[in-house]
Amino acid sequence: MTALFRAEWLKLAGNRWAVTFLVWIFPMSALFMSVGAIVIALLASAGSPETLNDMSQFLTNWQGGFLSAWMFPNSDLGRFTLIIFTAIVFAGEYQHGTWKNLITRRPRWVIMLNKFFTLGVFITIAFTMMSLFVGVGSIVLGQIVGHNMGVFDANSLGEFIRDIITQMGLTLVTTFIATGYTALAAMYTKNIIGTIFTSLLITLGEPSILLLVSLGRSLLHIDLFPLYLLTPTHNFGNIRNAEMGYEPFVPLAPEGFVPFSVTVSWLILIGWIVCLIAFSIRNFNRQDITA
Amino acid sequence: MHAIEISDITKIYGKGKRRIHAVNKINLIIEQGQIYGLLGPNGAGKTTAMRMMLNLIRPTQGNVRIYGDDVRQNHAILRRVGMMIEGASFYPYLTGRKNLILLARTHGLTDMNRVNRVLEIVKLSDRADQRFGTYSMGMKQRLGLAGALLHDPDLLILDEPTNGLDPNGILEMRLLLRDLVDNHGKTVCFSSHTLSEVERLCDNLAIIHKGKIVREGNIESLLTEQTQLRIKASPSEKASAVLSPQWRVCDTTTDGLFLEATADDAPHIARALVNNGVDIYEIIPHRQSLESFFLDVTSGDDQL
Ligand SMILES: Nc1ncnc2c1ncn2[C@@H]1O[C@H](COP(=O)(O)OP(=O)(O)O)[C@@H](O)[C@H]1O
Ligand SMILES: [Mg+2]
Repeated sequence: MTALFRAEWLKLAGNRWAVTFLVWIFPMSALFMSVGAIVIALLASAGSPETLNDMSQFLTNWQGGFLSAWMFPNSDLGRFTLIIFTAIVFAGEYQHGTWKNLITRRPRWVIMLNKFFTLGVFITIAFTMMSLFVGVGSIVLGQIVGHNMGVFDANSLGEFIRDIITQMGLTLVTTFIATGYTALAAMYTKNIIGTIFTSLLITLGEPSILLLVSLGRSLLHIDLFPLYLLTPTHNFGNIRNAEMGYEPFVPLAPEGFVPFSVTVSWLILIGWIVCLIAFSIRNFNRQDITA
Repeated sequence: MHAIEISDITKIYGKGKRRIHAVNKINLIIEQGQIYGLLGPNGAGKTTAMRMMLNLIRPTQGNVRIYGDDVRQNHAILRRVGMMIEGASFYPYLTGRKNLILLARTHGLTDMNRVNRVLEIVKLSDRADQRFGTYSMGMKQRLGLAGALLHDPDLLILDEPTNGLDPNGILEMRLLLRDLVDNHGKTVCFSSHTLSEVERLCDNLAIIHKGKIVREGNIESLLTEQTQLRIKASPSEKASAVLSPQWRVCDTTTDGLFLEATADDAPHIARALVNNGVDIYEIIPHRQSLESFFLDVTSGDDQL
């Protein structure tokens, strides 16, 4: 099975333009900016205390850098670029007519599952690198500008590990849901551009379910709110609110609404991934490969 | 055991008015150790038939067995098949060599020397480290063949493999396929839209037209075939009635009666007609070579 993984890896990493500008650009920018900031700080430490002071404002505690990098894939820009990359990965097989080479050698479900898996590993590595560059960079920077980076002890380390796992998990889970949408979009549109548009529409348009909830209530007198509770958007927000200790804010919630526990929200998100992958494989198994 | 056994396969594309029988109830048996040609004009259904052999598309009806196993039930049987369908398809951003390495890994091959070996076989070694996207049509086709040979399959299914090759490339391909079959016990099923190519390469052939097989058999017998006699006789209805119990009447035109029979049958036919009071003006062997037959088919002249 490692051979299969390496085959897919070769395909991902070998697509130099796509992988450079849609994935590696993020850890590379992080590295570049970290090194740049450190160089500026070193120069400024010779005679420009205001600059050091300005830079200090961007720093929080030592954990901040590591954590913030993992927020990135959930931003609009991060989501957008990763969808384009995923579209190239899945729809490219249709566009290049290469599925037939693969599925005559291995069962379709194996090929499809391997694709999801390899892509997941790839993205995890890219953003772990980004996290390391930003994290280590900001600690070094903190030392130079003399910023108080907070205490580093067993206690804060334990808390950090818990935080970063949550943040990574949340990011990877939502990224994977977007990947699932993209794989399905690829299956129906069979071309890269069509896949990108469809997937963006689904992923970025998902919160507009709230509009349906509101319309359903006012026009049809049916309550779609329970459906909204099952969306990735809602559960992602629910987990993040709980983690951040925010007051849960759920738009259009009825009186006396009690949000899901964090565990239930996690299970719903993971359920989405499992269903999307299973659905992709089922569709792929039945599909006529005519390209 | 047959290399390929196709039972009653049909593929219908589209719905309603735009429904098209791309392949229409084809039955075919391809024995091991031979080169089998599927000959047909563009749109005849060759590619569609081959896609069903490889389980790339689902037949509307019927099934395909390879070495006795239904391709829809036992996926692993396809690992004994090498294929190239509708030209070579690879990742344009990877080199020829990397594309093959990728396929070798996907297949689970451990011996990467095999990649170099097949690159040598198709004479692409010196261009192997250039990106596939920069290849000429002929080079792409060669790489496609290399991909098909990679895992040393027992059966090759090749869809118009000589497309885009120069005359020299076509000759090399022909020699290679012959060698694989004659000296290594492989089986080849390939498609083409030119008779001369099929004629030179294959042992058996099927002519496919509008999704149906219109003629099938051994290449030698098909090439020497002259199965018709043209008879001018009067009254022609009576001639037809007299002869039809024994010979198949293909056609009745103002030119006469066309009969499925050989020249050896002529005296018997003459006797039968005379005995029944039919006047004979001419009996002429009507040679229909495979070529004119195929030309009739490809020109869309549906006299079959
Ligand atoms: N994916 C498809 N969708 C609809 N019609 C198709 C498709 N593929 C092939 N056809 C039609 O099926 C017929 C047979 O096509 P094909 O098998 O490609 O013929 P050949 O390979 O002999 O040229 C043609 O009329 C073609 O237009
Ligand atoms: Mg074709």
